[in-house]
Amino acid sequence: MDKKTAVYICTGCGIGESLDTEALVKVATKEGKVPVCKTHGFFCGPEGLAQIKNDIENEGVNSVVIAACSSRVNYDVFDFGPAVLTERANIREQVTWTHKANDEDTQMMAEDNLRMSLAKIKHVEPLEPFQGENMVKTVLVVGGGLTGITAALEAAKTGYKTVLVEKNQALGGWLNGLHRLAPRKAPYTMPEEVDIADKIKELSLYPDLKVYTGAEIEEIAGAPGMFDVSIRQDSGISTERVGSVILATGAVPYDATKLQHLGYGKFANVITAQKLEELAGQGKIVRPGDGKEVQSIAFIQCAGSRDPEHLPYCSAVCCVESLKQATYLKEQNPEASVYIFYKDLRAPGEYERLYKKVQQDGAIFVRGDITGIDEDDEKNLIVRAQDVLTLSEISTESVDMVVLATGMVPTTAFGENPEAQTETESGDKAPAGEVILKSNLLNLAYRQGPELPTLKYGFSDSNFICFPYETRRTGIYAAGSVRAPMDEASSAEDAAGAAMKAIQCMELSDQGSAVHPRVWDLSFPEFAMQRCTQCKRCTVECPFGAINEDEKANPLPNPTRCRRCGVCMGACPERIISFKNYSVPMIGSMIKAIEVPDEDEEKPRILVFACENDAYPAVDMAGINGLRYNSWVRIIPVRCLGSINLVWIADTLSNGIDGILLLGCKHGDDYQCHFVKGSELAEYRLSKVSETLDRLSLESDRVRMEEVSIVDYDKIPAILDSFAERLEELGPNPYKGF
Amino acid sequence: MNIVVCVKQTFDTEAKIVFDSQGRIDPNGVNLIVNPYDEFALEEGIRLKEKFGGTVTAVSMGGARAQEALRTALAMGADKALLVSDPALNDADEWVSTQALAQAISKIPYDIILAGRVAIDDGSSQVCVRLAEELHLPSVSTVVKFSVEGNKATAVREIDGGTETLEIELPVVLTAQKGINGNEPRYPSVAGIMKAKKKELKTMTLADLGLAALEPKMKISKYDLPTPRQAGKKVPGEPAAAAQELVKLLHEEAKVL
Amino acid sequence: MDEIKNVSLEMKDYIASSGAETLSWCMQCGLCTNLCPWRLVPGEVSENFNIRKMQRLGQLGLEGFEEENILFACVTCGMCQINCPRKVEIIDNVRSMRNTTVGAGFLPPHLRPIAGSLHANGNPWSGEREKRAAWQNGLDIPAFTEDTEYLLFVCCTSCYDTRSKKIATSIVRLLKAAGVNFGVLTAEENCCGESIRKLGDEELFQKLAQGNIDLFKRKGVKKIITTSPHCLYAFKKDYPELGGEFEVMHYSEVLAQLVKEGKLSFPQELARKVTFHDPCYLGRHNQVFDPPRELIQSIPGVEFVELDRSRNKSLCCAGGGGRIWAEVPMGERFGELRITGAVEKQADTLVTACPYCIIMLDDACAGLEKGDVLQVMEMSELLCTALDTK
Repeated sequence: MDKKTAVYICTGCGIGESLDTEALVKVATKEGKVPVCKTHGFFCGPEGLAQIKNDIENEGVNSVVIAACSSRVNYDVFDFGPAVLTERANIREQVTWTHKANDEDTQMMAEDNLRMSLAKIKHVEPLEPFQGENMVKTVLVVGGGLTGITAALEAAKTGYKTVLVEKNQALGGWLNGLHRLAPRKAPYTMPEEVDIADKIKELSLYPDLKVYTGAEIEEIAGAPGMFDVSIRQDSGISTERVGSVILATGAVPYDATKLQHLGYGKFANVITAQKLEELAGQGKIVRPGDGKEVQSIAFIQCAGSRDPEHLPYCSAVCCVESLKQATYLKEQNPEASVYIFYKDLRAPGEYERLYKKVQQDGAIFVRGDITGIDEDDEKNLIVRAQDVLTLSEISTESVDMVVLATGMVPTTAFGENPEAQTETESGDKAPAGEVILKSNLLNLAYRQGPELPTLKYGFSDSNFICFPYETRRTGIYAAGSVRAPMDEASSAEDAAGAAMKAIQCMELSDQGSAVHPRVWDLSFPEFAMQRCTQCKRCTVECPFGAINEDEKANPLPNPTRCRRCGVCMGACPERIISFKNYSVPMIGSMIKAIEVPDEDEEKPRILVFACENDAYPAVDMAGINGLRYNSWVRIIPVRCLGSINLVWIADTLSNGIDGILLLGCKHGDDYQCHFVKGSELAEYRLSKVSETLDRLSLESDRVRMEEVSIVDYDKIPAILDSFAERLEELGPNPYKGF
Repeated sequence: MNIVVCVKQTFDTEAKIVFDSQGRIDPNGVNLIVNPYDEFALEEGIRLKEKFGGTVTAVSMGGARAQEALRTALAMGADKALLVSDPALNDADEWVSTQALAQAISKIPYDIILAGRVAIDDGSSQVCVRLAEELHLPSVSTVVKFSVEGNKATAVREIDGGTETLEIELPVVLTAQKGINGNEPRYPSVAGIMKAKKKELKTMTLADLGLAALEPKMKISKYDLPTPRQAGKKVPGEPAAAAQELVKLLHEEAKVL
Repeated sequence: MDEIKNVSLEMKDYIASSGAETLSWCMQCGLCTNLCPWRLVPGEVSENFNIRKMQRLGQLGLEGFEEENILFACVTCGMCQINCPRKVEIIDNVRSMRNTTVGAGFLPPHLRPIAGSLHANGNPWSGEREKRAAWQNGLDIPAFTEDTEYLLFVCCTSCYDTRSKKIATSIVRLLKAAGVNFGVLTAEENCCGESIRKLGDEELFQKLAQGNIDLFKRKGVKKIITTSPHCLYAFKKDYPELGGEFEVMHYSEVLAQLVKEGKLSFPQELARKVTFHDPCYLGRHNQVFDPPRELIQSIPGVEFVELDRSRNKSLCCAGGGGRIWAEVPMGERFGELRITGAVEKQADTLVTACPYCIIMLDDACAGLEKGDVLQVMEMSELLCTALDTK
């Protein structure tokens, strides 16, 4: 693009009082040789804006550098449309608000920031949003239980074509086996009729809602907006083209045969809660073996749950289910004896009313561990438990039946675990990958693995950066008990949320935009494939599995899967990957634009790469709070620390800059990194660099990485100043002046 | 070991005596309790059972309300109860009571027969000793200590100015003093009270016992309330003078000095 | 802890059917045990009595609650019940659990004379029935007739106990001074039965109550003023289910209203620093808090201070639930804590409005030998001293 660049230096917000504006203008006009350079006290106001707009409309300016406040504010004000390139130089929060006014070093900071922006804008090109071929806006829902049906209905009601795929011949899932539902409306004391049949009927109201039953997913290939799905039924394979996928395959009860110690499999009248539901649905609850009507019953909660030998977690709904089932017994016979043995009774929110009701109807609640279950001659059972309150072991009278309230296991927890592919061509192992089991649910044709990664306890990936149903695979959302134990009300809500996100993704992808967290980013990575050495680093390190491989083993990018983080760009040793507005040479030239004083001037220089999600805002926040730090730092915002290419380290050090600080988000189990493992990758890559540095007689201490979150703004001065102190100890970069 | 305990239902110790229109003691509205001395006998009987095994049968004679007393005995730990109840026994004297009880008890196996040493209503303290005579058994009254070994029992009883220790061969009739063997009558558990409702309580009339009507040998002609306590006299004045006046009054009026 | 305890549903049902229906509502949170005043004193009862555990034993039909220290420890102050998140009727449960043994004829030995006296004399103090009205001698108190507005019902304690009689005479004086249309039926009355009901003797209570209800109805009684908050409770809460529906007030409510209407005033200035102990049965159980305070503060010169534990948090004197007749060693009596509390506030007068509280607090004050710094007074007595100008 032929660029006519204008520089606008704002003197408002104290900038004019702190800096030598004239000198700044000289940097723009004499060094940068820009044709237009203006100053104003209030560029974000109508008058100032009018000037800029006038220059654009009438003077042919098509590339604008605004030296003023941070790019994190007034981005709506300084938006001149896609045809105008806009760059912001931060001389307020990160310069005048944090440093001494009218000071030589402060002035040098401001000037360097302007230089970096001028260098940057030379490399930026207008964006051409990616337009896929034959993109569709159809939602695929895998799983036809309550969650799947609700998601399909929500999408259909919003006007989107929907495909619903269910493994069994009948829709309905878990609810088909229930006699009643736990109460969902006031007064919350009585179970309700199961209404799944009504919902199933509703599906047929939407002609654009296609339902496949007795069907499984053979394969999903492609990317958001362009998924090709093969569906396998007895009659053969059908194909669908969809824009997004919702995983709603639910969970199954824990295998009770593992609970011999509670009598299952040993005694005829020890059954599961699921079985009791079945018996209740058949009319009077009678014992399966001898048909005796059940007049006394004991429920055992946490049967194989919250137990390191079985399921270590709580399944959220079993307590309420047992309370519900207790009401069946009391309805059948108000004098029935009902015992409920528990560790903690979890009846959250309105379910407390159900708990109270069951207590008032005379059920006996015993908190404590089960010490034993015995059978008498008439196949009745006697339960012994350690009663916490009386600090003694108690024994019930004989009961007709014992019900084990087992937990739930998600459908994603089944299947082998093939070794996560982490080896690169050179044989190095990149940071440990995700756990992906072959659960035969989605069968993604993704290099990274056939399913979504599983999280703790085998549940589907979810809760990726703030949204419960977001996963690490763009366009694929997990909802309902497949991602966490939940009740009917929560599942329905989850389904609606996932449907909304699925629709958002399709609409954004259609416009070439990224989805969360870089919504409205129209850039995407481009590959200069002729220089590719097929090292596979980009493919392996992409946190979102956005890159496949083609037949020549070259990377095959899928732009609609991409979150535009730039991790691939940072990974590539040949530097063949770039975005139109974010590239290796761009940052390289920004580094070179920094003026590095000679050794004897005793003005060190520190380069800070700050990730845009937490680190850069934290530095801004330090400014907003009027904190102070040294003036040696020069800050370059990056999309993610994972996008840092090691060549920038070399560029920086060979430029004579004394130290490099990487500021980014936390990684690990409780990761904050918005791209999952960007900062982890940066740390890993840096570990490789330290050897090289040592060989060059450059202390590895000159390159440091620190984790910050946005709320750590008060720690910023200490971080920056302590690094400066260390660098002073090390002395100036020996390559200065070369 | 077979133990029989005779239990009498009496008026509450606090009860006020009121006469009806015919000059007889009016039982209406009076709270009835187990004779406190009989409670000690029951406690002793149950302890003997706990030590030696066997059964405790509580026996009483009285109206329908006497069942309450027997249920109390069962709740405490007696195994069975027997009530001799017949309108013809309303005016029974000690001889009649003894005849009826002896007839009833002779049908039950017994090694030891216990009772309280006196009933707090009429204070006659006769029936159990008479019962022993009727059954041709040795009897020891006002027992404070008691122990059994094999077929022999050792009993310590209160006498004027001391105690007397006797050795007896079973079976024997004993009347218990309060605090016999240092024990307090037990407080039953609710489980005991519930079980008591299911234990056997048999009622027998004179006919059931095979007895014809019994004519009392002693008839009560009149009841009088005790003379009300007179108000005390206060002797006024200085201590020395008052003391003299007091001595005079004690000598001349009260005639105690 | 070694042997296995067997749950007995039969026993559980037996207890529930004695009146403890809300036993199953308990979710065992333990708030009751921690609020119970027994936590504040040392001793054997405190170590053995745990209301949550007692309710739990009842819930499961387990043995072990029948011990005297446990079953008869509760003072029925209501601190637990008023805060129970499940609204369990804890006092009803205690009463019913007591009834399972008491109803079968088993009262602890020290309480048998009390029950015996109630049966025989209609009062728990072994006072002769004929002498019930003896306290009125020389006081010229009108007898209740059909035209009388209020029946003044005097607590048995104030009919027979020398110290307590002063309460009755003071209240009579105040009612007369305020021109209240009242009369007495004292000679024919029974004890209200509140305490014996709490002790579990339901049969005796009903006998006493029925006697009173028949008497009141026969005489045309519509409104009752009580001298004791316990009688207030019995007539208001226990009698209606037996057919006795009356409008019942404690004397403090009547007098406070009259002061507001200007029909009663206290001209005599008293230079006293007064604090008020809320009787459990006036405050927590009947929610009457302001009338006594209004009355005390209407006396000129009186400086009123609140105890730390006042109103709904008032600390029981340990006289309720039949424990007025229990023998408790010094150092284990709640009343002592009230005395020290009042002394800490530097009050010179501790006022209360219940004959049982007076007994317990007098006792504690004497036991702690604080009689020289603190005077315990019944409210009517305090008010009377302010009635006449000297």
